[in-house]
Amino acid sequence: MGKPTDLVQGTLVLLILKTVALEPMHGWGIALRIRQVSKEALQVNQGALYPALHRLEQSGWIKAKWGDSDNNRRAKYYSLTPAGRKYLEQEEANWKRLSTGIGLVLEMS
Amino acid sequence: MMRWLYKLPLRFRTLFRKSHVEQELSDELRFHLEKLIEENLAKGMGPEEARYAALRDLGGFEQIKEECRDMRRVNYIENFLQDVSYGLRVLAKKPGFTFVAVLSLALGIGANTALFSLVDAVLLKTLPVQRPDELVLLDESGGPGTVQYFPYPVFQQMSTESRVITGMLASFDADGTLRVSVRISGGGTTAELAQAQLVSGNYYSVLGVNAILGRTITPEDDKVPGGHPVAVISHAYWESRFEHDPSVVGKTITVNGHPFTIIGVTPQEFFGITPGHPPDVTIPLMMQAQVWLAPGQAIVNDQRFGWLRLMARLKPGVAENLARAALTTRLQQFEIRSAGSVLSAEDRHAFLQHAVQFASASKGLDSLRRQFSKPLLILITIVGLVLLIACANVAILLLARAIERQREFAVRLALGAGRLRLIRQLLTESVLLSSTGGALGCLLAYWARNVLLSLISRSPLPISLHAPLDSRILSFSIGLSLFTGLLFGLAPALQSTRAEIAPAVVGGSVSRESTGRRFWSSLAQLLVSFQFALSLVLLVGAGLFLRSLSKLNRLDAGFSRDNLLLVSVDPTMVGYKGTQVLDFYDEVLNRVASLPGVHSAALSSHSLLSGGVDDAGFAVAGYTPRPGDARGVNLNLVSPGFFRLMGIRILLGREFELRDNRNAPPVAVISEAVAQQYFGSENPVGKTFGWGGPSENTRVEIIGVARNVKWDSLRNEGARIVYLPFQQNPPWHDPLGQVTFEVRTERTALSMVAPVRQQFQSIDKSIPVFDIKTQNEQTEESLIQEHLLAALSAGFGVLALALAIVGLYGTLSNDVIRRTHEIGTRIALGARSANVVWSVLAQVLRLVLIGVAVGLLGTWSISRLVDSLLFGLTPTDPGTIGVATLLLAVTAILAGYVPARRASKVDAAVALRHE
Repeated sequence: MGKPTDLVQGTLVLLILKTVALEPMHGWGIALRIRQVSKEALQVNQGALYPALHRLEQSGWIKAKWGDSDNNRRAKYYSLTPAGRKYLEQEEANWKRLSTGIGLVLEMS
Repeated sequence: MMRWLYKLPLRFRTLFRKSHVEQELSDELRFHLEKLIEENLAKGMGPEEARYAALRDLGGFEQIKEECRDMRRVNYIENFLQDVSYGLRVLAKKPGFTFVAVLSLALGIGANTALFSLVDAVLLKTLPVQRPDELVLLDESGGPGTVQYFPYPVFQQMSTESRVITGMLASFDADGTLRVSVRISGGGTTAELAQAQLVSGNYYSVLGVNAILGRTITPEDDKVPGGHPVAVISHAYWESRFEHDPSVVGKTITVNGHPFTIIGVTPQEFFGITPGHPPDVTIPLMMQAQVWLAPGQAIVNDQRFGWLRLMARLKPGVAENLARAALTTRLQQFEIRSAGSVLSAEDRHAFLQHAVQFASASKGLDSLRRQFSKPLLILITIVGLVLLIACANVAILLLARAIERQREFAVRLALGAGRLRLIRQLLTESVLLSSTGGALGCLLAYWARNVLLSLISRSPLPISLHAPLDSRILSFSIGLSLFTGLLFGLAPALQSTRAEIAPAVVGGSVSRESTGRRFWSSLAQLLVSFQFALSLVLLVGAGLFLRSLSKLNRLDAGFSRDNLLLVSVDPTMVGYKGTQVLDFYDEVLNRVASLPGVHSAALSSHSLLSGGVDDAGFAVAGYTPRPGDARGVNLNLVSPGFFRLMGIRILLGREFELRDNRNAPPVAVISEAVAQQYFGSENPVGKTFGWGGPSENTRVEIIGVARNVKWDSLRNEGARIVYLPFQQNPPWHDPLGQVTFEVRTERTALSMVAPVRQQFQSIDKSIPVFDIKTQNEQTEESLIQEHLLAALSAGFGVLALALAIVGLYGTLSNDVIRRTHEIGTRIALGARSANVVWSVLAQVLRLVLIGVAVGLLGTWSISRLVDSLLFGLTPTDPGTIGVATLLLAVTAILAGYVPARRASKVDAAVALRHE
């Protein structure tokens, strides 16, 4: 396995939203989940993750709540707001259109 | 979108629970770190190694935190608070600079705020009534002149035109001339004067003003002549005469000898319908005969006698010309009907030319606006210029500061501070300066406004203005402060943040020249020249007004003004009638004349330069008016000996004597101007005239011609006056009521005030004495505009000069520091200190010259504004301009001498090592 690809600008947001759409999750969990689900293909840059989370929170797409994690340690759990859910659907559609487009171009030759 | 539901609380948390939010951020990241360490441990690393790897993996802990903070987007508020506290520290470190800057601004902003409060009260503010925009004032055009005063029946006829108006009110006398004697029951027996107003019953309902205590006058209070002895008092009167007594409603006051019951108090902000002339007591129109004119002389049913100002509230949605047409129809119908059967076709045609005109009444009657709009316009220009000078001053000081602080900024720029951030920092500092100046300015304004009000109130008809420093005024000065702060702060801010990092940081020397520095230094000098130009304009203006005033004061008024005391009384106010009045006058004249210290005493129905008018017709057989001839004359009823006492020369014939009493044939003395117009070169003595009008056939014999005197204003030449003996008051004329006694004293007039007043008291205590003043005071009052302008323009001229001098001083000092190296070199090369002094002074002269050149253009451009207010000189009077220029130059050179001396004391060795 080569070096994990850096995420394309803007896709991190999509991944975070998609990840927290399933259940409330803390930052570590989000990073872990993305890595696992992508089968180690996508590596979330930790330095980018938290600013992105804070920005999404400030924009009202996700909300945060403190809760207990394993070993009774407190962690900040993020979950989607209704507005965030709508935003995610929209972004997902956009992404699909985009990747289909790119795929078509690549298959051309 | 409900996103704000989530966003808003977050913003608040970030701002107000900062430590909490910071703690959470740390916790969150630490949690992540621990998880990383756990993972590393699970991979089999040792504890130390696991921790180290985790930290490295995460990247800069603090950097992530900072980025998260940025995401919170409230930084600008925090930055602002930081800027403010840093700015305060910087300003506190330089108290001298801060003091001068804040003081300059405080003076500028204070003067502007004070004047604006006056402009607001006189020119801008609408009446404190409901929907003032719907109100119009009625005039009648189409006759010989515009008629502003209407008879009561006309009012009745028009006020019912409910298709176009929602109401019409009538009032007398909103211009502040109806003064009445008021005695408060239980408040002693001495009568006092109060400002009265007679109003129609619907006055308050049309305006939409309610009483704050009791009730206002209603139509029910205005039905039967003489039948409604009720009065509404103003808040100010309630305060000053009744000390806010809550039980004032129901009390009785005696107005001109008739008891009235107080029924209510109007709100504090309500000043009637004429700015500057608030009524103390308001009474229904039907009570006219009780308070105005002689008792029993009811004029409410007179169809000809115009005395009421009418104000209508237009119906919303009705076009103005429609309303005007409807009211015009009513007016014409009334006039034609009241003329009855004697109406000729010509008269009928003339009546049909009459039309109602509207003037906006949203700001009330305009007597005060007419009187003061021009002086106020000039004054607001003056204080505006002063503020500009103050701003230039602060800009100069800031530029100097900026040069001093260049190293600080270079270092901050080098360390990665954003330029915008630095500019914002500097602007914050200048806005801090200006808002501190503004706050101080508001305090100053409070004081200055009182001075202004007391200056203005000294006009012939007392003016009392309601000019509170309210939210309008405060927002004006806050806006002004912010605006000035940005205005003068921008250039220095741009200058000091220019990215010239390397030389400033590396060189470290203040004496090293850079092209940028020289540019900004010349900008400062440009500002100084600009200040000189503005100062010159103000000084010239002040000189012009001062010289006009002094010319007016030295003018020969045609009578002798010194040692002359004027006392006005009106015995008819307390019920004196017919011969009783004349006997009272005689007794006063006898008693006062025999007082020790009094030379002689006389009386007249109008005192000279009091501003009053009393028009009369004047008909001479065989006289045909030439085009351009003025019509009518002024009437003055005087006592025997009046001319001798006043020092008015009798050119032909004789003056009145005791024998010209009420039983003697009617006689008159005419002024030169009347003689000139009606008799040309003929001798008028012995000739007769009549009063005009169809039923008048009295013949009055002219027994003398008096020299022309100034009558209503010192500016007007050749007043046409006909003097009559007061015992021979013509039957068509108002009965003699208020008169003025002229008392010629042996020493200063003011020393006789108490003994003269005492004589009145000893004859009848209940007669109120209107006014005691010297003729000189009265003359000054007639020059109120000129006084106001002269005093204020001189004050502001000096202030402007002082500010400009501070600016010059700041620039030069800074320039000398900048050139220390150069000056040192020159001294080392053998320049003498005189040469150095001269080189600095030459620079001052250059600045003055530029300033004067620009300033002269400025004076020329505003000359049209001031021309009509000058007397005896033109706006480009060379003497005044010369003196102003000289004053400017001399002051500038004196101020420049101090830095010049300092420059000449530069130690060559020190200056060169300075490098």
